[in-house]
Amino acid sequence: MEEIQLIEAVERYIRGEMKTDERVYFEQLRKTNPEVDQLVVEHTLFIHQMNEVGELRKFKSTLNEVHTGSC
Amino acid sequence: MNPDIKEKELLEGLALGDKKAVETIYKDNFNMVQSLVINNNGSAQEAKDVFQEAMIVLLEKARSGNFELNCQIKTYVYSVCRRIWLKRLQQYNRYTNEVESMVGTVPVEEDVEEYEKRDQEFAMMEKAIGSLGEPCKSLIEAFYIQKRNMQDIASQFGYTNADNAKNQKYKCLMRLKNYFSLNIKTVSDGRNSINRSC
Repeated sequence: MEEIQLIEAVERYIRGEMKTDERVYFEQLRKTNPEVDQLVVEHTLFIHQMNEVGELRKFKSTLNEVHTGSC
Repeated sequence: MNPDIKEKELLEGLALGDKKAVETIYKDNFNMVQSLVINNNGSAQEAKDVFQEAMIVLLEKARSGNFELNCQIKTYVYSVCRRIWLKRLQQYNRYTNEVESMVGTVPVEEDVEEYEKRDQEFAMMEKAIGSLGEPCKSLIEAFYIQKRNMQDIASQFGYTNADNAKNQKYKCLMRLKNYFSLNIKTVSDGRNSINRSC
């Protein structure tokens, strides 16, 4: 599998968008292929970090709105 | 209402992203922090910054599911702000006489240090995203932060089909990851050397 397809598969896997049989197949692939397993771990971390950046941005903009509204 | 229950509800609201909770905590605490900073060699802008940083520390606390602050929100926010402001005064070499405590304080050193580490990481990530240039920056933000689907993104950015947009997104992702692996490593190395010297 090309890396671009692998990343896409990992993203669908992480977002829970795989159907059961595809998911079972992918989990088997993780077990037998350490590189795929590593990519899943790494990319999950990356997606988590991006989520946090998004949440922090949102919170900071709420703080600024509240500050402007209260002063 | 029982004040403890009110505090618990505020923290829960904060953790869930309820703007009303943010407003209440702001209203109850900002003036106190503003006085602290302004009476100790700071400006109104600096007071706002310090207070908002303390709100982020409080948010982390609330999200950790550990609502047992063992003190009132007011005491906690004040302690965090005082700690952050003292550090900042030292950084700026704007030392004042001992900053007096208007209310009792609780130990918050660890929480503040944890926040500073995370803040440094966030700054690094924002810098990395910013370094991408367009359309990479917006493409990455649309997919990973706004969590929109590729079909949607393709039509917004003017790609003829989702596959081409996916291809471009992949290239942008690789650039971003390269930037991370080159720069985040430096941050953690730096941190290790600090730990070693202690």
